[in-house]
Amino acid sequence: MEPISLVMVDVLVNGHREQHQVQARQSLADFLRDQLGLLGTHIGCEHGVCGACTVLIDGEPVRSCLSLAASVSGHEVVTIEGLKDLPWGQRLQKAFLEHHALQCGFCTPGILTTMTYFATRHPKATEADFRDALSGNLCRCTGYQSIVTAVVSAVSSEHNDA
Amino acid sequence: MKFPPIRYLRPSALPQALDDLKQHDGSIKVLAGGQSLFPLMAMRLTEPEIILDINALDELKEIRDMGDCLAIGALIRHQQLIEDVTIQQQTPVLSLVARHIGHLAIRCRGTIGGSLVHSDPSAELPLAICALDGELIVQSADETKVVPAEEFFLSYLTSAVAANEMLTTIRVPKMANQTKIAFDEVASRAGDFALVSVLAIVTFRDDGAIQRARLAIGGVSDVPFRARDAELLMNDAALTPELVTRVARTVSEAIEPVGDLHASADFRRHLARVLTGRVLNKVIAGAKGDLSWNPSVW
Amino acid sequence: MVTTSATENSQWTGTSVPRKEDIRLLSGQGQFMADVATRAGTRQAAILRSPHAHARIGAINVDAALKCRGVLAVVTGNDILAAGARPLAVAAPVPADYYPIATDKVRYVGEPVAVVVARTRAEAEDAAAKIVVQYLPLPPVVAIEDALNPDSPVLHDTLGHNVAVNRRLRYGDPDQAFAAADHVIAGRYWYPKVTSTPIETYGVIAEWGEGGAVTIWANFQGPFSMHPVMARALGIDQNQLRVIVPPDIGGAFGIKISIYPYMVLMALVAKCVGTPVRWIEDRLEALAASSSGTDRLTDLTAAVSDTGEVLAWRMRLVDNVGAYIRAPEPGCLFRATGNLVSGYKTQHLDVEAIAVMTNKCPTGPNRGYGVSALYFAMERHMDKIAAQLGKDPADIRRINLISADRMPYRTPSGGYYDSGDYPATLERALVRAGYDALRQEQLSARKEGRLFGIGIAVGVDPSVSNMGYIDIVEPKENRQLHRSKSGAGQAAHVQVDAGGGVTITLSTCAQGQGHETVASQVAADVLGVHPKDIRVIGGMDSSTRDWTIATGAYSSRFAATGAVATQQAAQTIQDKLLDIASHVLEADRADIEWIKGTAQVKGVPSRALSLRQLAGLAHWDVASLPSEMEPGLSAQAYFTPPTLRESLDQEDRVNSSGTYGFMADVVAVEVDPGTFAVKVYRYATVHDIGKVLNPAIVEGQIYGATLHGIGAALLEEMVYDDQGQLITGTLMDYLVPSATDAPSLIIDHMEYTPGSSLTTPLGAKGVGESSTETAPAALANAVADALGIDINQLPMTPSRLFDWYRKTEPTSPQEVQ
Ligand SMILES: Cc1cc2nc3c(=O)[nH]c(=O)nc-3n(C[C@H](O)[C@H](O)[C@H](O)COP(=O)(O)OP(=O)(O)OC[C@H]3O[C@@H](n4cnc5c(N)ncnc54)[C@H](O)[C@@H]3O)c2cc1C
Ligand code: FES
Ligand code: FES
Repeated sequence: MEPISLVMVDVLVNGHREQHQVQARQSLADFLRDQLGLLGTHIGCEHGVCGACTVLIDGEPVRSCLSLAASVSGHEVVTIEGLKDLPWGQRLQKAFLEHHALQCGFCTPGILTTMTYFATRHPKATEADFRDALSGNLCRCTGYQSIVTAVVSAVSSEHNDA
Repeated sequence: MKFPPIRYLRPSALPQALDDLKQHDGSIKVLAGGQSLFPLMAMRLTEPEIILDINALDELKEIRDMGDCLAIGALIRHQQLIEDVTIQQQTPVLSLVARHIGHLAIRCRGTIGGSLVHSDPSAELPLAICALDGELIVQSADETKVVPAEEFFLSYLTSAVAANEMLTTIRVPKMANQTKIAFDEVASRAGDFALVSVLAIVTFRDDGAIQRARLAIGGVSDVPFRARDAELLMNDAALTPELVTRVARTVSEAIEPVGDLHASADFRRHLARVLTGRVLNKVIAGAKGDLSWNPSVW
Repeated sequence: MVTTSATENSQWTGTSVPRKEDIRLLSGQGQFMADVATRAGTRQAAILRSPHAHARIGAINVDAALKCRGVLAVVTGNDILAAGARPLAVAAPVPADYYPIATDKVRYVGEPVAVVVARTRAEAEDAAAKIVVQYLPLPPVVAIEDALNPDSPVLHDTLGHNVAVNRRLRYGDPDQAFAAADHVIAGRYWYPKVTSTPIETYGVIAEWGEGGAVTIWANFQGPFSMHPVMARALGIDQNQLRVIVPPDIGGAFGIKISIYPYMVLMALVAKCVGTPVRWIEDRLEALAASSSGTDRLTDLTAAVSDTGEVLAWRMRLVDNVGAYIRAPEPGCLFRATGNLVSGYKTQHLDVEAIAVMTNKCPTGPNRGYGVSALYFAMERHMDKIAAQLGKDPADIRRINLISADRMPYRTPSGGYYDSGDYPATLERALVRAGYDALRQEQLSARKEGRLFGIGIAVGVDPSVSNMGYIDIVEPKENRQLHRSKSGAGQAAHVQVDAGGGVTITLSTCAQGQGHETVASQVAADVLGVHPKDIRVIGGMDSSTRDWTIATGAYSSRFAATGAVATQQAAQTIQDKLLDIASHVLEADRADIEWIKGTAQVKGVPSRALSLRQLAGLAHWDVASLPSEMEPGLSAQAYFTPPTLRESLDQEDRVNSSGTYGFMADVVAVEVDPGTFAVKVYRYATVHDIGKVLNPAIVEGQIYGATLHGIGAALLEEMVYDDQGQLITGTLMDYLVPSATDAPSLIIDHMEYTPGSSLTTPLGAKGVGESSTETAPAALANAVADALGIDINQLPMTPSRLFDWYRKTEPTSPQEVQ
């Protein structure tokens, strides 16, 4: 096989199959925004630090600015637009609304995807664990407390319901 | 901050990948997790012509039990090191240190192979592999080498893996019985690269004295620093508070750290001493049955 | 002075209704700048920036760049000049031209040198790397002390030195006070250059239309006093410049004021290339070349009586505004004019206010603008005074705070504090923190060798900036007649359609403060509808919306201005509805009242007309309206606090802000004796902000504001080396607090007495900056207390604390814990 500069991507995004030709250098973040029009994935730093661009690939949180679109062929991507279809995604969206866990909302998509993964995996985590899991998502508005409160309340109301 | 133009290859078998490396020697770069490579490319500090995406190589995703060691595929992600039960049981040092790497999303993507080849002297995994005397399997189309950890980390951001080679497997000795491990690091924020980190692996004899001590310090030289003099002080001795103090002083005298934006050379030296002391005290506490490592959800 | 409002018996105002904005933001449907759809043919821009701090520009060779794939054009400073660019007006009388791109010299690392326009951003970046610029490097000036030295290299030859502003302000009789003082206590303080780094970067789209009109989309937060500045730089009339701001801005904190040079730049580039041009700033550009606060050197001398009263201050404030004095600088020096004494009774002031230019990124408003640095120095100094006089830090503040019975209070420098009980606020903070118990804990911690400290900081929190304060930059003999400024006007528009649907159109450029929600709460109370049924249009469009020069979201002004304008516009509508009802129901106007969204004849519920019915009449049936009443139901209102209807006086006094809140922060920290990591053990912050319109939003503002202050105290600094190279050019090096660095806070509010505000009818004072202004000082006081050392500089990184501690401590820090 010869190296190619235009790559065919075949990927499941929020449950829809997407087939597109992309520049080999295109990041997953730019692919989602520019090709698929999924503008909910935000770009804040393009070097992996802010976390705003975090999406789920095969269920795991990944920086879409530090991934190639070409690499996600054959995988499944979930963005903020698709979170409502995941049980924890929807629960957290509701809790964020109730606890004023966002201000400008620019960091929110990355925080929700990360926390959806984490709450799904570790529904019994403690507040300190959630804070730690959140440490890779910078938010300049909220001071984080309301985010932590929202996540913790979503998790504990889930326990009470169970 | 868009990536420079590249061409892309994603081989599905190792031999093919090694051939690609040979054929495009010099203009090609391996892509593992991309968590170090892509930031550099986004800043255009590196501009490879071809990216060899190795993520489809299933050969590199295995964890195999080899009797006295584990053979860990280069594509094992940091988060797997934390969560995999075999690793937790057989080489818990890796789980312990991986916990400190970056953040959740970075750990879900970054790989052990990538971290070792990237060779950041502040990184956790190079430090662990150094302390454990791991062995690195480095392959090219023409040759397979077994490189001891000591010879693998050459200098700042430089490992012994040549452009036409690939790190495929990391062999890590299983933890011996009666071994206590402790790790601590100081970073500016949770998840940042360590200013200084210290890892201690201490195996005790039945009589309570130290059979073998391993001590490695990160962030104080251009490669992970193995504190051999300090280890010698400890071997066959009893791990008393006095010894801890001596060892900590020995460490701080042996290193030649350089200062940067986040920490002066003096402060790094100071931290190396403080953390060495703390880590060894944790070992002492652990020896009395007080677990030094207590994961809550990991 | 101000009419009391109908909302004192309000149903919605004062409650934490869920935010209107959140539904779209939580589902990825926000409308941020990078999401704005562009016209086909729009091209993408990348900016080539200077790698030198100070250099003369020689030849620029763009040949190779022009040959790159996808490239349309490369635009340089000369092209911009040829396109008719004029310098951006500056607020200070400084003969130093400022263009949005370098023309002859570069003066900071990151200064724009050329703009590449290409099909994609990636291609533009490829080409930018191929431009060859000849630089003739010049020696840089980086430190404040160097810039003050007349022998240092000069940035702007037309100025001939590096001091942009130097004003001496005197209030009262400071000389006499110093002569009479029992103690004269001096100190020097350094405040770091920090940038609030909103997570969303700048973005601009510029497109020229017919007849020389240009439309610029940008995540610009105002103030629209920059609108005439931009129009002038573009050489067009103001009505030819349409600025559109999308409804969602991803944080701003003052930083997105300073986007306006890029708006001008992209408009000029679009003019040169003849296509619409889009530029989305990346993070490296943002850190190197967007904006930040100043680094400030403060010399403070206090004249103190034996009883601990601070009789007078001498202050020398030196702000480093970077390479150009970009408007609204030197606002950093003068924004706090009215509250220079903070919450203290001090009557005499001798102030030297200096702005210097150096080879660093230009500065601008930043959360805590001009106040965080002032209070860092003052509140550290209060602790020093306390120590010298053997008093408790709480007591020294008790002695000096303005008492409640003196409200309203005029400060010597012109500030008008309308209300507040400062001593009670401090007392409540002490109680909420458990101050006495903390001191006990400290005693036992010290016995165990632990480094435990407690810090207090208080401050008057100015918001709703009076545009007039900037006039102070000119000494009075130079001030021009009819050229003074004043006020802080904000507009709102409310409309009711024929079906009774309410739409509010704002022009406030919100960036996360929930303006849509608060506006709907306020209007809901006036019109008797549910806030969720009110449609609110956020963002801004200078060609279609109601606005004035002060329009925008900055200096924490919405609650005290925009919300009031909304309420007043809604009230106008209600009045009209009542007029119609009185006519239709044939009842005396005075006998009709507005209850829960209906106009009703007093005491006769059966004789009533609903909002919907009345709205129907107003639109459909002119015949049923009172004679001479026009159909339709819409109203605009403008509001400026009445106390800002005054400009700078002949003695340099000015009421620089419309509202003045007050806060008291009490913090306890523990410093790790081995690693010097600072851990916040407790943080209590009590605020007097008047009426709280939405408690959840206010709490969010205080949390965010405090964390910005904590960031400046412990982590954040834009560091340049002595060659003027930026060392903190990535988010791996410019460290902002993450979730694990953020403490939980104990937040409390002083009760609001309805009617107590003399400046704003809703009674709400600004809170957006609040503890950003006190947290740095509170933490520094706590850490100084913990380590027993003097702290004059931020951020208190572990490496620095280690150094400082080691220097003062004869024995080396504890070896092993
Ligand atoms: C915000 C952030 C924080 C971080 N914090 C930390 C931290 O605290 N500690 C830490 O240790 N790391 C940290 N990292 C880096 C992270 O751990 C990376 O995952 C790791 O350093 C590289 O692994 P990778 O798989 O992503 O490698 P890549 O980025 O894919 O590759 C890195 C380099 O190694 C080469 N390479 C990769 N795999 C192979 C192979 N098998 N054979 C030959 N060459 C190979 C590549 O060509 C490249 O040159 C952080 C990263 C980010 C973005
Ligand atoms: S944009 Fe990807 S981490 Fe910031
Ligand atoms: S809500 Fe604005 S950055 Fe998090």
